[in-house]
Amino acid sequence: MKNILIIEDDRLISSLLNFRLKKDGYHVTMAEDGLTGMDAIDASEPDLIITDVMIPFKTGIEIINHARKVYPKVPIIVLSSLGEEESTVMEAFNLGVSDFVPKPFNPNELAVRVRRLINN
Amino acid sequence: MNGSGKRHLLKLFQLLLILVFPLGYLHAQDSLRLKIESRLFEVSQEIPGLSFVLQVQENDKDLSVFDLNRSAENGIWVSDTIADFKSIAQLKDTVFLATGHEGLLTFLIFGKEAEAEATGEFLENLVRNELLLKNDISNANGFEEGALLVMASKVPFTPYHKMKTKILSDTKMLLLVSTLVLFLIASVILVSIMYVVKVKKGKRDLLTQKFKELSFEPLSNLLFEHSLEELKNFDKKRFESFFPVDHLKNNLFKDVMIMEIISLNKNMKGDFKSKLKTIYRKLELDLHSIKKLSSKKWDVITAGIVEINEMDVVEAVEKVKKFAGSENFNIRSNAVATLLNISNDPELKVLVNQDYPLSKWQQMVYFRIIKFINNSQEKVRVDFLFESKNESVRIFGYKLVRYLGLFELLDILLIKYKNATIVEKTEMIKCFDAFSYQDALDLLHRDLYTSDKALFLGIVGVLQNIGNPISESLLQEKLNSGLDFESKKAVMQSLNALNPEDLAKWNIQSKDAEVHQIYDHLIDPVLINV
Repeated sequence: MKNILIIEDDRLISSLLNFRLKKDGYHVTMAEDGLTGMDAIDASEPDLIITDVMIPFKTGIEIINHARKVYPKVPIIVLSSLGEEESTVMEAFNLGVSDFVPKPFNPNELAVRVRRLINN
Repeated sequence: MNGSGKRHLLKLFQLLLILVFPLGYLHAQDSLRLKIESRLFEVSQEIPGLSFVLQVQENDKDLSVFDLNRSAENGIWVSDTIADFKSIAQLKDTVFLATGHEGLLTFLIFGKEAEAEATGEFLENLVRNELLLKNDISNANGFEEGALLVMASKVPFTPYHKMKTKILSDTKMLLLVSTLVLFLIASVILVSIMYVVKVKKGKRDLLTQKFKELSFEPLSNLLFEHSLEELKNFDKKRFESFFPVDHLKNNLFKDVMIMEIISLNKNMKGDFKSKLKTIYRKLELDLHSIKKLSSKKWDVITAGIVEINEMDVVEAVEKVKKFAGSENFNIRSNAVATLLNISNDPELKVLVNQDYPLSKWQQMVYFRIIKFINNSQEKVRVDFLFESKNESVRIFGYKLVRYLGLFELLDILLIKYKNATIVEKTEMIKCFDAFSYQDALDLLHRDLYTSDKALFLGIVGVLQNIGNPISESLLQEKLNSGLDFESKKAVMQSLNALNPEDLAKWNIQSKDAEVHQIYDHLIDPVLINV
């Protein structure tokens, strides 16, 4: 079973994504802030990471940086509000994130992107 | 003198000492006794603890007539114990006159026989403790002061002024005590209220968290396991079957559900938005939101209005309308935003009729809504805002012309410009500038002679971009009319943009040192942007 790590401080969104991705047969690990997210990256050996850009204690960029060092080839999807700094989004892409999903988003579309990235 | 003589002399000296000392001692005792007796005479009252007995050595006469009793042991006549010194002294004198015997006066301290010395010390103690005065001085009322003190010592102490009486008669003290008591009561009440509020808030937070956890699963089920059509066909009971029944009657649970639905509505798109609105309505949470409008608490009313806005509860428009003129800023702002959003009001009547001035924050919020409506639904009639009696609404309208690119309204602005206030004109000329609206030049030229500096600087700035040769000559004329430094710099900047050659010539001819400095600044490629 493929393991997906969701790092998102909005508990409702992460719970809904958890529900949706479990329906597709994935094992989902959730982290609510940057610190637990870092630990989860080290501990859970994810096949895909979904992370928000704005999370407590660490920035999304730091999370991506850390994930890239530990797992250079694991796909990363960045969730972000449209109002967020363009420079942050660009920096995330430069660090090699696989996809960018702006909020508001459709969870079904996200599930399709997840499936595509994991299958590739 | 030999040794035996010396010894005799020593024995004689010792004998002398033995004879002299007791005599001296007796003499001292007698004088002390006399001293005490004379002192006791000075005190007219009885002295507590001190009494006297008279003893008379008389074998021939019967002294029982003087109330003396004969001792069976040694035949001495003894009086009763008498507390009053004057009485015993009188008895002594009487006996002496009758018998010729002086008699011996014995002092008794608390019933025990005492020497004259001890009696003297006892009296001294009484004097020291002010229980007996040295002099027998009578006071004005005829009481003897020493006796008064002695009497006073027998009475338990009770203050002459009772504290209660003193406080009640002292207004300042009463005020001070009342203030302190009030402060104490207020602080106790405040601490109690804080404690109760904190406990309530803690309980509410815990319950909110619990309800959030409870709402995840049913919401996920409804959103992912059922299509929009299915959800629309579900009746209320079917929806309720997803949730714990008891909780759906709980107002806090309803609030948490609304909060979660609104949060998801903001973060999701596609048919999820429709699904969330269906869930919201089928669970009759819209009624809960509308009910909040009847609350007396401003925060509850505001929450209700926000919920109505977020979930597009159009049937609540009429109820929200009455809050559009509320004196509470939060209620009013949210009510106007809601009405702009859901009331299908392209004529922006709710804004036109605003009595309160619009803050910048409100303008920002309303602009976002109007922009959304203008782009996605139907064209809004921003020109209606120009007719508002509220100056800030009219100014907001002029800003919208610029922000929404409504250049077709510039002609109307031109008409309005003539009778506009200085602040409105300042905003209007920004529109003329933004759209390079040359038709406004005549009006701008006329207003170059305004006394308002802000408007003047604004017009000069606009002329820099859209000015013509007439503007140039007018600006030169203004420059010669003795402007202040800031105005002079603005005019020269405009002239430099309109016709740099003419400005250069004019600079050479000018004798004004300030003009030369500004010109040097304007043509310097480094300083030009400073």
